[in-house]
Amino acid sequence: MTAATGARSLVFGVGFSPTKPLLPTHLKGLIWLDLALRATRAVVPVDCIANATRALWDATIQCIRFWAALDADPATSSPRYFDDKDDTWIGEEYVRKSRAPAEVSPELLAAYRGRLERGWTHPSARRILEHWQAQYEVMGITTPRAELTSAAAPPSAEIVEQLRRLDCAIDLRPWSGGVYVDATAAGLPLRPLIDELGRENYLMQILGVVLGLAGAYDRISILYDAPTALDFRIVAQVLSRLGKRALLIEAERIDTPGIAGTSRAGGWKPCTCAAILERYVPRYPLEVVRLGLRLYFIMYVPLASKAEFSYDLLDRAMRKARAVSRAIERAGAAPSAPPEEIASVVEPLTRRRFFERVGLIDPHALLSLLLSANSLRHHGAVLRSLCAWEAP
Amino acid sequence: MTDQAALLAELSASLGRRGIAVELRGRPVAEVAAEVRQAVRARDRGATVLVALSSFDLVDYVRGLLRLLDGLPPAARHAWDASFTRARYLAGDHRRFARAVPCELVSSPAGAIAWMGPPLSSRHRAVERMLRPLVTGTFVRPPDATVGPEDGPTRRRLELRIATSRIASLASYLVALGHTLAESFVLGVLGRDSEIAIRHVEQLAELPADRRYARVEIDPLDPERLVLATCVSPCVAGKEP
Repeated sequence: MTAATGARSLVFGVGFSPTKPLLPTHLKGLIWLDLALRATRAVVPVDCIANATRALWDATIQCIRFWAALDADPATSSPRYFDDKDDTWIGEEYVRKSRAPAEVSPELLAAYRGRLERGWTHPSARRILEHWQAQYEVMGITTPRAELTSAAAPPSAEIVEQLRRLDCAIDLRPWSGGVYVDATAAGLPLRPLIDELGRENYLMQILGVVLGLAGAYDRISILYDAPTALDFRIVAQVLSRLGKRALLIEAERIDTPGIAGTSRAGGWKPCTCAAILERYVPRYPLEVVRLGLRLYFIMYVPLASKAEFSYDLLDRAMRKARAVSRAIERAGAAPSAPPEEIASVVEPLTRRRFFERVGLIDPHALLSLLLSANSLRHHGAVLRSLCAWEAP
Repeated sequence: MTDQAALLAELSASLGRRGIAVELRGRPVAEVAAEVRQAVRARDRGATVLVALSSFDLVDYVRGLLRLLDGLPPAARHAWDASFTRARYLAGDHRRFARAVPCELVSSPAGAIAWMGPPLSSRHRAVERMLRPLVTGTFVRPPDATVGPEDGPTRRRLELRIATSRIASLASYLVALGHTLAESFVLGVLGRDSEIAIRHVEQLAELPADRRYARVEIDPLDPERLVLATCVSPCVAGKEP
């Protein structure tokens, strides 16, 4: 596959499975990446693959375990069953089913993955994706789904063979063992890709997509959440063996107040994207909500810092966004800025170390710049353009 | 069916050699097993070996293990024997991990297997944290093989028979084979000058009278019984084992 845009850089944003509502951790990554891409593309072409490879995230064992449990239950197996359910309802069902996870046989896994490869979407996932899309539109997030949608992982045999050629595979299948990606030479732990029962995990799929795309790019930036850091350091090692530059961007999670663990543990109902939008959309104009979300998820909870979700802080971000909106209005800013003006404002940020290190404009530094009094007076239209001020 | 009294006597001799005295006769195997485990723990000198495999070949494994045993100082060898030649099997390739964590190890001739310890150093522990336990599914029985000395003339010809019907995985196969080779080496039954014919059989029905070593285990399918897991005997010239 080649980069249609002529870009030599690719951003790979780690996606999430459509089994639960969007939560603050997801929003942080989505909003950060949206602004980083809008700004970077003003000065340099860059391709992105994020939720584009949705099938990748759907193929995880956790996801398939959930759908298999729904399909096995006569109460939830009807294709129309989820038509009147929302993402929160389905997410709560996911939490319930995750409490007593059923064993997934290699045959079951292969059957579901085969259907996914043929374009199938589980009815519950389709319903969640509809909700996500509507929420992206409210938040002004340009989902990179339409880009590079042909990215698909090659068969696992090819991936293992490529890893073997790169001298970073251990294949114990002839002795009924598993397959591992081996970056221990760099001090990283040995990581299974296929278990002794023949079940492939998500990292196998990610390696497949990344290796499949790597040929078209000089450097690949990977945005991932902090608990999976070791996996992506391993991916970076594999890419470096291919002679590619891998730039790692680590996003810390935003915890749900009073709840420990992942979204499978539940307790997130008051902090879903739907709940957040329900709280602010009736109270503020849409552009204020969009800017408030960007202030909170980029400025107030920095990407690399662990945080606990706080409505108090988000309220404060919304009030600040309203003040900024009024200041821009008073300055008589145009509804949007021409590309040359955006490029002239963004360009100095390409000389920052952050850009050199991760290949993207730093959204935090950009917002700091755009919120300065001088910038609000003269470049309010740039803020409007980059923060999706335009009407949906 | 193997004579349980004979197996009990064999087990008793193996324990007695290590200074463990447990009254075995006339008692249920399960009861004896618990007592043996407790006595073994009390006598354990904590000597363990890590074995990292990136591939498996029977001849390469046997030669590598004999390299390790031959190179161990007598004190370390006897400490390992006192700990029942305990080993932990890992997936890993020393040609890679040793670049990040240089450590003392003995590699097999083909280089796919490495032994670390005894004793284990802090670097070995770091390697163990980096690697994964060897987990395998259905046991694939390797073909029989005859392993001659890596170098030098053959001075002894031995037959090592291993019962495979109760072996569930490669790791449990390596445990049985590894203990047999290591303990036979310590006892002087075999050495680097030996030619060892390794024969896989479903079950070992009886203790051979001419055995030089026998490994007795509690039957994993019936904890009330003992079974013969392996035995080492001299090869009789002109007679196909």
